[in-house]
Amino acid sequence: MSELRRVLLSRRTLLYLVIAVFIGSVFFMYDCLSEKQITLTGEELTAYIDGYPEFLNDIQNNADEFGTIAALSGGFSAENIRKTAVDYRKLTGVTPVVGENKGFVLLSGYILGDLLIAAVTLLVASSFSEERKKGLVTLVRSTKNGRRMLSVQRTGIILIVALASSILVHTGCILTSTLACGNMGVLRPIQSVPEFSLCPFGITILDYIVFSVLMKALASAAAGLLLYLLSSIMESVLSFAICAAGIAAEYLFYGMILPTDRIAGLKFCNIAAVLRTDLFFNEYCNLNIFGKAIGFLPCAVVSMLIVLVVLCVLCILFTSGGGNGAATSGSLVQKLSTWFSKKAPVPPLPLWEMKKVFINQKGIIILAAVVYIAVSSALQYRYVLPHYSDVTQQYYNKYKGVITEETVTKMHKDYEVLDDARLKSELELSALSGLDTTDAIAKSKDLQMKIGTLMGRMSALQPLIDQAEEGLAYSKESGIEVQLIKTKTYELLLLDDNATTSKNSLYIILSIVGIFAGICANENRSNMNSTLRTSLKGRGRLTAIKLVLIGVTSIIVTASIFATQLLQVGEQGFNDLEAAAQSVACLRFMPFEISLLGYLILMFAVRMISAFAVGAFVMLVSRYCRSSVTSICINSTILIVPAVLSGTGILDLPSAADLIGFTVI
Amino acid sequence: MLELKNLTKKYGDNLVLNDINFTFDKGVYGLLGANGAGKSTLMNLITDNIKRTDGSIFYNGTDILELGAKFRKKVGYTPQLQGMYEDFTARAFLHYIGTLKGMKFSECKAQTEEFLEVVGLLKVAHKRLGSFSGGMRQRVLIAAAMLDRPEILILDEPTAGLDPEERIRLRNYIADISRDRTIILATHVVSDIESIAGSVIMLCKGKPAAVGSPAELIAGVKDKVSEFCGSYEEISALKADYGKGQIYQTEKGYILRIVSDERPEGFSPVSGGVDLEDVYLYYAEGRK
Repeated sequence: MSELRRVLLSRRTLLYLVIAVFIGSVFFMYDCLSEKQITLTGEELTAYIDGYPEFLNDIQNNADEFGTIAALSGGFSAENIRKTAVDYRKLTGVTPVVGENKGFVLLSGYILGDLLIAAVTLLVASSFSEERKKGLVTLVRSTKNGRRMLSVQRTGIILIVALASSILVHTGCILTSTLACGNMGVLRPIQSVPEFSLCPFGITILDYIVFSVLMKALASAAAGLLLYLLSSIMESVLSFAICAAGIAAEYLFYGMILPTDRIAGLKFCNIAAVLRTDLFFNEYCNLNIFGKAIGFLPCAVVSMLIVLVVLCVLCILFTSGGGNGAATSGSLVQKLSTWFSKKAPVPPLPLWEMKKVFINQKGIIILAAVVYIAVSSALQYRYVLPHYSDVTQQYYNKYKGVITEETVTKMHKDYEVLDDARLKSELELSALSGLDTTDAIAKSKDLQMKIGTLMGRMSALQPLIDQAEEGLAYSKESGIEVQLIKTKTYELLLLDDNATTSKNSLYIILSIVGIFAGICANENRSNMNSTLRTSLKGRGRLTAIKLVLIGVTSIIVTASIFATQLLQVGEQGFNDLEAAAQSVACLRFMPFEISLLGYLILMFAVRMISAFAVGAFVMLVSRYCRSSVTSICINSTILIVPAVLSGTGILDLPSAADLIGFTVI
Repeated sequence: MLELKNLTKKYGDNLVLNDINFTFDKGVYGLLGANGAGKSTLMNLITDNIKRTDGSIFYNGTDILELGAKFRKKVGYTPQLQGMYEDFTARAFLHYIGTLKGMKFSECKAQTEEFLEVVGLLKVAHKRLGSFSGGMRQRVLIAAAMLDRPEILILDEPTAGLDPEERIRLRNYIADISRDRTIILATHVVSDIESIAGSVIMLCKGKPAAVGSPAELIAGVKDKVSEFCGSYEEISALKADYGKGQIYQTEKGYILRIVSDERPEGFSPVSGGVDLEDVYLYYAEGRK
């Protein structure tokens, strides 16, 4: 039990859990506050709820219709259709209830949460290989409980950590969702959520969450046990590489194999699939197991349980050894690296610095993880993109160009013409009100339609008139000519979607702090300063190279993370890019004339320069720290905490995220 | 030629080096002194790793601050603290230092192999520095300092952690390469410099207490070394008065050997030879 206490109650494990819950909850909060369309709401949701019984009936009818045909051919198809009908028949009587679904839908597809659960488990599993690096294996193995008993305990620790991290991350997200979106109504049938309309199980949202917690724990534990097993029988770098390759292969199988493929088992009975539990509840699929149609959920659960049991047994059997295999595989790695270092040319100084930061200090893992999570989560949901009616489009086309007195006068005249026509039609309509002849009735209908059309045109024109008048007033005051353009896309990008902008900024700060916290602290810790400072290029040149590295990385990270938002918002294209930026009301703070394209470029330049400044600050802090951990703590306190407090609306603090996510003043 | 003029270093009110004047030419210079005598501070000033309080350091007539990188190009330095990246292999570390020194890549590779051989680490060059013992790390740092064959080689406690065989090997190598360069070797291990240093500077409380060749320094204290032979009880009683004396056990009994300006009663001139250790004790440990 001592090992259980030592690891589970260690500051490091507790810190991993706290960080996972903190990061998971913070980014979940941003998702909750996002302007993106997460799920159906309002009338669309009511329509879905009302139509659900009909949807079930359709399934039964289809099953009856196709079942007859398929029954003739027999085999899996017939079995599949029959089972589908049986599964959905069980849902008869299930009544979906309208409620707050946003938080639950976000939780069910929360990729970052899944990765955090897996990451905590993998970190704890990898910590077991440290004693070999420290040369403590013989000491540990010579103690009474240092072999089989230790392996059993460590296997148990991985299972417990996986479960604990899954419970804690889910709890954090549920609390955050309750705060940001309201009560998710966990006792409602899961079919109340449109995304889960295909779920064939009569379960509640709470049942799903409990099951999801267990499934994610199961998948993370499997990954952790695999790493523990590999790192105990081979050199740690190699074990990490093989484990990463294995998990990547699982992910590829999950992503690339179609549910209808003959090898669909590889798609569903796999760690990546089990980690994304929602798949099994918002899709319906039966696997062909020797001609029998078996639901993909039981297949996945059974196979993952088998994998888990096998891994547990293998861990207990093989990790109690002394790690002789590690020496053999280690020597193989060493031979390869010796051969490479002898044959390969000596890299120039920038490459050495890149190696130090990205390979030795594991910056590449942080960079890849942050960019992957940021981009994939950004692509997960779409925006409700600005829509202009045909009438509005016509008016924009009619009055487009620089706003002048003439334009405004013309618009007013057009509006008056419409209004006069409406008044005239209304008078004619009231004149016909007492008549009940066929002609009068038909004419009344025409007039009513005409009035409706006129009012529609007027209500489409009025906002344009307002926009033009404001623009004209600004032009007169500032002397900068503005144009009448469609502004909704720009407003969505610059004003409305603050949560996504703040979230992206936080991702950028996190990656910069994570990658560069040790850039100088590592040299302080290694006592390398005097050696470096005595070398020809060890002073100004080295600092310059580090700054260039920070600059290039900051630019790449900023560009790749913000590009997803830009592409999604601008899916319909950014119109009138050559028009003055001040044509959009929120950009009238700009004191000089600049086009919209110019402003977007300027905005990205400010963001990139800010990201670089943050990187330079991180380097400065790192310069005065003896370890990366101290540097991370100080940088987080100064850069991340204010950004989180401000971004989630808890406290209105100025933060670096405001500059990195710069849109408008 | 490296010239120190009125070199002074203070940490707050603490005067660590006081008005040092000295000229280093080609050859091996031993810098002897107790812990805290100011050896490492002097090394750090020469390598411009810390700021001087007063005075100047000239290299061939120009201040090293003015020369900047041009001066550093000519310096190889092994610091007292074993600074290195533990996740680098020995070979990669030397390649890295070579790159920092601005060496051509082919030359860097060739010299890396050469100096790994010199310090006896060629067979373990593929191993990570984190797995090296203290002595092996020291040898890597010495090899790193030697890369690019600097004109001035500054070695701060270079033999710390080395076994006798490696010490001898290193001493021989230093003696070998000292003909056409300046080597400054700071240590408190007297035997390291006794056989190879052409000139020795005895630092005491931040000032050179004595400067000269080992033979000159030894001649200077020859008459000041005396010894007392007696029983263990007698020696124990005397030791209280001469705490810094050395006690030997011989066939005749116990001998207390001291270095002092005046020979105490009962002590006789030493029967054997006087060596640099006596000089060290005389200056570094305080005169009696």
